[in-house]
Amino acid sequence: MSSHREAPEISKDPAADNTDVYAFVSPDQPDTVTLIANYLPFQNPQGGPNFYEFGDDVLYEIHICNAGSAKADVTYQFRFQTKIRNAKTFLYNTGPITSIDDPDWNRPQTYSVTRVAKGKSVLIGRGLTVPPVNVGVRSTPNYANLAAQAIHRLPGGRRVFAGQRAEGFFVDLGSIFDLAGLRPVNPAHLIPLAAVEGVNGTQALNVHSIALQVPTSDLTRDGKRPNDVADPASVIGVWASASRRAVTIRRDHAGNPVEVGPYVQVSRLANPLFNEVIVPMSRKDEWNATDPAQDSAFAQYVSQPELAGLLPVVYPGVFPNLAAYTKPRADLSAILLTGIPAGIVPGFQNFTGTTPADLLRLNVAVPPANSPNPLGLVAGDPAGFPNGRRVFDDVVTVELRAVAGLTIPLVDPSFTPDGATSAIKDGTSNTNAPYLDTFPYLGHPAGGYQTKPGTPAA
Amino acid sequence: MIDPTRRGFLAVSGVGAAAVAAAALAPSAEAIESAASAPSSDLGSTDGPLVAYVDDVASGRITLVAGDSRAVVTDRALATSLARKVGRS
Repeated sequence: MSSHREAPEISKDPAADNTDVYAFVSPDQPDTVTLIANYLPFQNPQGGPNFYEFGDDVLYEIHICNAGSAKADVTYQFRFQTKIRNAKTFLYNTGPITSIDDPDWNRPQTYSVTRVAKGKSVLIGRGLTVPPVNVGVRSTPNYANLAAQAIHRLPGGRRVFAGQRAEGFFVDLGSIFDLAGLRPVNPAHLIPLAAVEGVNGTQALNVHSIALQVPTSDLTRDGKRPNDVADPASVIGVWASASRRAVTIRRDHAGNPVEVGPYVQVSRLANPLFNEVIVPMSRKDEWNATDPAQDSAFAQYVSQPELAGLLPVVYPGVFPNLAAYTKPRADLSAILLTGIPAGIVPGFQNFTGTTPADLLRLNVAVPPANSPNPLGLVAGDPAGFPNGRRVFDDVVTVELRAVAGLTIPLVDPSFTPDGATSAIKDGTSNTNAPYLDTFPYLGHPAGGYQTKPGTPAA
Repeated sequence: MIDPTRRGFLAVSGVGAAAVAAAALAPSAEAIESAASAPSSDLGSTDGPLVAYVDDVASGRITLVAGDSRAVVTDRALATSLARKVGRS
């Protein structure tokens, strides 16, 4: 949920709220790339009787640009359809659901997958079943088995999964959005508190995930699997979006609204936390409705990030070098808007061209790491963020440290990061279900019966 | 050809300077609208509702939405007549 409820309008529309995007060379199938787009944040496992589901009225898309234009060269579209088997009951399921075709599941959802490229739309899958949510031990026993049944093979060596997963993004939401607090360094805050470990604000929450694994050649500009990291053709840019019909008509006494007109984008996401903490609130809705190719209109917020100005204020005396640095943040512009060109990080580049665009840039010629480091590229692991993003990458720590100045020396060797910069962390880790070693890589969702709600405090 | 030196890198990725100037040029609603709603004489399927909304009574600009399609027409007389139906003069 790096981008959850991040804008005023989308915060009111969870079914279309794009929360995270992941893109990585599949560690167990290195001739493929896995693309994941998550929606529907903050799912309480106990959220019945109408459990969370994809919107039948939402067009979900994963876009890939491979020719340096910041425009989609390949798009995968996902459309969902729900039905009610038994109109006479209020129940989501009328007995244990032991298969994704089980008639006891009263509200099954299916979907289609369409691939759009070179002006042509090709339907590559239809009638694919979403697994039920993890209701509880009686309703959805052996949930892992149900989820496995919902991994569908598509033509061309592709696989797809769409359904509920454990939230894989971890962050101390409660502290960070409480005036930029970081619990491990509480004593240094302008409003000091005792230092404590970070609290993962996404613990025990689920999300809905669309995961697609395709041959690398499906995504590249020349239809081949590149092996030269320095080749521009090795880099793809990935983002996801959600769109709704232009007009919604609500009629008296009718119940369901009628949707009319072409699809209009209401949410998009590439790099984690972009719209969350970079774009000002007054323009977040606008950002969600625009395309990455239009991001020159928002580039100023990257080159002069508000958060970089706040850190020295909120942590007085901790970031003097950052406070004194007034040059445009070319390091952040590269990481988030153009990719890192060759020659900056030895043996690595993920440059997509000079058009500023928020894209998750993946160099598909970089093989999976034998010993992955969740801090990715800044820690010497080029298979990790910001070279794409793996499900376990600690993007909060990476981006906090980058904003605080850790990456400035890449472009300005005269700058010395403050001593605290490399120690910044929110103190959280994944406390939900463990990630999987195989597709779809995000862990199994928390069950409604099994999960205990948190402990409130005022 | 990308200059791999740090100066070249700044020139390549230093979109900040250019972006400060460009920041004021956010896509206008008009630009987005005109890009998204190329006039079309075919609003597709005859099933489902046809929605017409008056963007601007004075200019007579009316947007029509049906099926998957959207079209924009200009008809001052129609726009004015519609406005009067809902009490707008």
